[in-house]
Amino acid sequence: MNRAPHRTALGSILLALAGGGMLSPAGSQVAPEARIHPSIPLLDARGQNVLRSGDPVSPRATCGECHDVDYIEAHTVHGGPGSKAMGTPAHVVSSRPWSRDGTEEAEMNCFLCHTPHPANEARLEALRQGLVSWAPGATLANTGIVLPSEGGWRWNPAAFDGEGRVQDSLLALQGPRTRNCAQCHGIAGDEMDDPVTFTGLGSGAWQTVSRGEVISPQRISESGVNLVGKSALTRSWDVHAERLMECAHCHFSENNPVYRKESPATQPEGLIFDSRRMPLGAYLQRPSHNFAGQSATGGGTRVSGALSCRSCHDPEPTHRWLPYAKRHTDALACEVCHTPALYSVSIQSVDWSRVDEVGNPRVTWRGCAAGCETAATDLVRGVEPTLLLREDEDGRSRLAPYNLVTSWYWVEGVGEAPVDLERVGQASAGTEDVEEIRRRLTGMGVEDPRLRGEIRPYPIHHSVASGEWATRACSACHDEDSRLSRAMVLASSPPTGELPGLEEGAGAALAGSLRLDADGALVYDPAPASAGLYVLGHDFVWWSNLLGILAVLGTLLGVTIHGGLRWRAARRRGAGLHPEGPPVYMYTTYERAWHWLQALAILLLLATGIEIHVTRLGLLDFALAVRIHNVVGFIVLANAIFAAFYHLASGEIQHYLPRPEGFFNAAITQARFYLSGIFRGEAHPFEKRPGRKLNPLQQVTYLAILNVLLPLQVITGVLIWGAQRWPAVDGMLGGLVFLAPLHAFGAWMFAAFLLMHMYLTTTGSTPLSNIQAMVVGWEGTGTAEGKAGAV
Amino acid sequence: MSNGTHSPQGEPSHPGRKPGWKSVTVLVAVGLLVPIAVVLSGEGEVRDDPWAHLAQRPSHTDHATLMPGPYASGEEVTRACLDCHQDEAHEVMATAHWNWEGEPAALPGRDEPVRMGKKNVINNFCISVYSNWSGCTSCHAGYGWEDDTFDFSDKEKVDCLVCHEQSGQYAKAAGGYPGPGVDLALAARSVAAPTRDNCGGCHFRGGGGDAVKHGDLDATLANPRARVDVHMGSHGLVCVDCHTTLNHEMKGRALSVSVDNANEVQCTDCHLPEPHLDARLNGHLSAVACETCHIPQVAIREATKTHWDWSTAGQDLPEDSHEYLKAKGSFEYEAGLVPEYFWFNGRGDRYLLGDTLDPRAVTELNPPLGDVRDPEARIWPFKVHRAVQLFDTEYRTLMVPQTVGKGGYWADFDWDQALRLGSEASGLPYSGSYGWASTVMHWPLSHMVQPAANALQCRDCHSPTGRLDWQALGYPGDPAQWGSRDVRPVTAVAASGGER
Repeated sequence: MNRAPHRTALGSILLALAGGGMLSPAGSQVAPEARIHPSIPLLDARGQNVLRSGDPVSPRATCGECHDVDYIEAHTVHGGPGSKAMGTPAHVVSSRPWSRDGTEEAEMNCFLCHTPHPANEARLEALRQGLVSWAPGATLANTGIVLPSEGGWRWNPAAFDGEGRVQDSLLALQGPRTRNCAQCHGIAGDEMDDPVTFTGLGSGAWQTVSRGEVISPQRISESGVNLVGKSALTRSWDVHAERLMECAHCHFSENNPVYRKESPATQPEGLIFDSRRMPLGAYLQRPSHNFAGQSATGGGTRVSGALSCRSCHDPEPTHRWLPYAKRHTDALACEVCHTPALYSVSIQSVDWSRVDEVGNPRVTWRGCAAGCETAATDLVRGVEPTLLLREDEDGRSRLAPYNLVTSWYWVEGVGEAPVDLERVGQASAGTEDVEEIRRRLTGMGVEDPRLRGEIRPYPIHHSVASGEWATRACSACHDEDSRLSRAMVLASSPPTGELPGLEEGAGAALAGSLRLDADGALVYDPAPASAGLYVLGHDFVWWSNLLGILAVLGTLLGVTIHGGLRWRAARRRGAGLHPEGPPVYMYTTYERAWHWLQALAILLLLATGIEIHVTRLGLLDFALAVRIHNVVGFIVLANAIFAAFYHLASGEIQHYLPRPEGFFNAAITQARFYLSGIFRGEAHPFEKRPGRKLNPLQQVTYLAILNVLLPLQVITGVLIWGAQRWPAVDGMLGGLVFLAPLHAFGAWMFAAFLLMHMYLTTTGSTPLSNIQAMVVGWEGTGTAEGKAGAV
Repeated sequence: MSNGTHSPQGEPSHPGRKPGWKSVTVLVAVGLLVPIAVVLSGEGEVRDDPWAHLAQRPSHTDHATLMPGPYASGEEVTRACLDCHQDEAHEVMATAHWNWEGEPAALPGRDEPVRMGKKNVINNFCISVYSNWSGCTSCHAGYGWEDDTFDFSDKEKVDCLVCHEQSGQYAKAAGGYPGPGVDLALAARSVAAPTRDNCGGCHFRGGGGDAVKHGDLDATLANPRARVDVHMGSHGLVCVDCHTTLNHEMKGRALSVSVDNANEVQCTDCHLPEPHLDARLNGHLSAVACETCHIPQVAIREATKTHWDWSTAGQDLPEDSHEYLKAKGSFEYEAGLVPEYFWFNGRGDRYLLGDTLDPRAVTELNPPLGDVRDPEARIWPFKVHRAVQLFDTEYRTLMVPQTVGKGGYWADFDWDQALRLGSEASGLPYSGSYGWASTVMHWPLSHMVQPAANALQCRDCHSPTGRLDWQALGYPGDPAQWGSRDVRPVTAVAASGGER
């Protein structure tokens, strides 16, 4: 039959629709779901009307009347629906080559995805019975167009009109809906009233069992799943499903003119929107069946400009509440927080090292209370996905949630081809011993059989929670034993002690390490630090803490011993050796304000800093601690700059500059005083006076504090603060992985200094005289002539 | 450090310099606290805090010793109340609880504002108060309204107890008098602020029995589970927490008897105008009332009456108070009632006594006003009550039958006689021939509010099988696909078009 008349018909329908749309003022009666498909005859493989021939319907012949089926077949990864990977699911627990079910000859089945109530079971049954050519027809079993007849199917004449066309109300051809996709991809739908259950959950629900994803607008609390804590989960299974989205809204056809978006790489600069569109008729004639965002593990090609969360969402305006929002969105995939947990079960491991009599592997599950032997009725605990490093389209690597499925299978020869399951079945009959199976396989002529282990990372993009239900607590990550490092058991009893590797080409990399624990279970230990991430409150570096704590403890010990000795000596000696003389104005108001501001600020920094460093102290909300720490850090910086100016301008800087001449002698004299003279009640070798407030040891200490420690803290601090403002600068300087431990070490040193400093203030003429001077400005000293020296 | 303890012994050598720890303290405090305060302020999200808007409940004086009794009549109790509360009776006498009518209100298509209320309107339950006073006024906040001679200026007739007594044994009988066996002294000694039981005594039982009339008000609200009403079930609110009172004037409207929306209780009295974290949900608020999503169903535990056909009354059929009564005709009740949805701008039209009707059409007694083009209108949930009642086939007006008392329909089952008596009482002419007309009433729903976890979800409305009929509401189709209504003034639309 010549195609041209049909094409014209299609065109005129579209034209009429377009016209109708234009002619319809708002408020007129327009059916919301206006259907555009005309009534069609069903044709068999020879192009004869099936009503006449009684033969099975051929979608190629039938749909090919108007649609370019060659183009469609050349542009689909669904492999001609009805065949290949979409066949019987018994072995499709992994896409290993042997899992094909031998129905490649089946024809592309348009009805499976384009009718509202396809009969997938009938289709599969037809395939099982070998009625391959009847598979598309069997898919129409729910429509009444075909009726079962003995051992097969026959066409129902009542379903056709006088001209041999099937009634459109029965066929109801349409674009694919979520429930079409759900037939093969897992638990998904738009049902509000039919509760979601995991009854009969198996490999036919691949999206669900491989990832734990459930795509439903229903509230989890209203589902039929036997889930721990269900009543509190009043969120929907998937916010996109809740918000009226269908699978095809994201996974659209690559040439669908409605969704077409030019890649930024080819779009001329300054052009925001290219409004040139393929005519709808042309698209309907040749709709590509390559869909946006196909799974990397499914072997599909990625459609250009394909979807990610960011194709539709700009995280910026909705994350202003989040401190360091950009830092977070640069390091974490949206799904990390928006799919914090999967309230379902998913496959943990598939062990093909030995298979049962029908060729099934041993499958273990996660997310349920006891082994998930019957996932439908078991108590479901849910799964917290683990985080791997994912290479994103914008070139960034982000942590993203994955379900890790580890499989083991026999390979042979140089090419490492998988050993076919029949032989594995024979070899593993009656034994679980891997070595025995290997021997038997070798005996069967399998060349060098090796058991290969492989971890397949299944990326999680669905079961998304709205912002209200997303992870919002800082401690979810910023805590020592947060989810960032929570171990994931990959297999409780792996068939081999060899550590498997992560499947290549999956677009993800482990950010952590694998190990066998004491019980022989295979465990993945995530460690974001190994991926170059330093997460405050979660990560620390041992040398920084160890050296810092030693410094603080050493100082504490030193001042305790020194103070004890002084106290004992003073008691023996009797007090009052240095009677207070006339008061001296030692510190100006500015100097005192500067000093105390700096002192309080540094104490506040230490307090908030330790809270950020060790989140579990729980003294202060993490985000609040960070905010206060940042402000106070800048107060210290500003105060230091003002003070530097003051000291330079006023000449007071001279107090801080050790005089080279005789410095060492003076320093030794001062040290000797602290080590012995002070206990004997000797006078200070360098008595403090307004003209010379600091002794040589103080001078050298302050020189180090002000020129090394303070700048170190300020620079590392500002860089950590600026991590999301100037990530490149941070990166150049080693990133947070280097800067943060350095900053922590500096903080420990500051703490040690503070202890020493506070102790030494008690070594004045009376234990409080120095502090008094710093508070009120005046100090009573033993020297009368110092009186006039106030600045 | 206390003031001066550590200050120098002698006078400062520089007279200008004072011991300066105070200025240092101020400088340090300012230097530290101001920047922290500046940075921390303005970062907090404005969160919904409804409790902040709730009036404090005053503690009520114990009247146990103040009201010794005994009291021979309700009026005697009222006199005792008025000894101390001298103005209160006058306050009550200015309210609809006393007058059963409100302030004059404008009605579409009528020249003069109309004063109306329970006193003089027709509904499609027990039809009209005229001629049936003694039966109806058992819910009047007064004593002795038995006919049209009741003196509305007699303050001793005010019934204080019905709203304030807490003894639990007070009940009103015909004419609003205390029922037999009521211990008035016990009731008088128990007075306090009104509880749910006080309000519920009448309002739960509107229409003559529990749950009959409103659908969103029934006795399960006296002590509700959280599932029934979030405000009263989860948070322990009582009626007067929302229906606040100023000089005994209660806040709140009922479309059945008042057609304007003055002094209305609003969700936003306590809740933020945009309370959702989700912008998409807040985007609904200009077109969808809070109640629409947060009252997904009413009559949760008790079925409410949805149909009342008076025309079948008078037959000797098997009786069942939820299906058929000889005195009243046949009924339909529904539990878990899913509301019907209409545009509503808070105001209503009203069928008034004497209005003519089209007997072939359904007569709307209190149609809510508003449509898709009305910016003030939002989609509201309603309980719709449908009825068949009497009309005068000649004058084409709905009629007032006397049902209660001597000669009433419930005594003699004679409609003609009941209509003549009703006509005498109401002044509505009766030609002598009557027929049956269909009437409908709309009851906007505002109780049995559910928290977010039970609120409607997108697909409850936005799906081919959803509960909203978009085209009936005036949309071309589901606004999720067809776009929301545009109620901006025409000039604004033109202006935005011009910018392109």
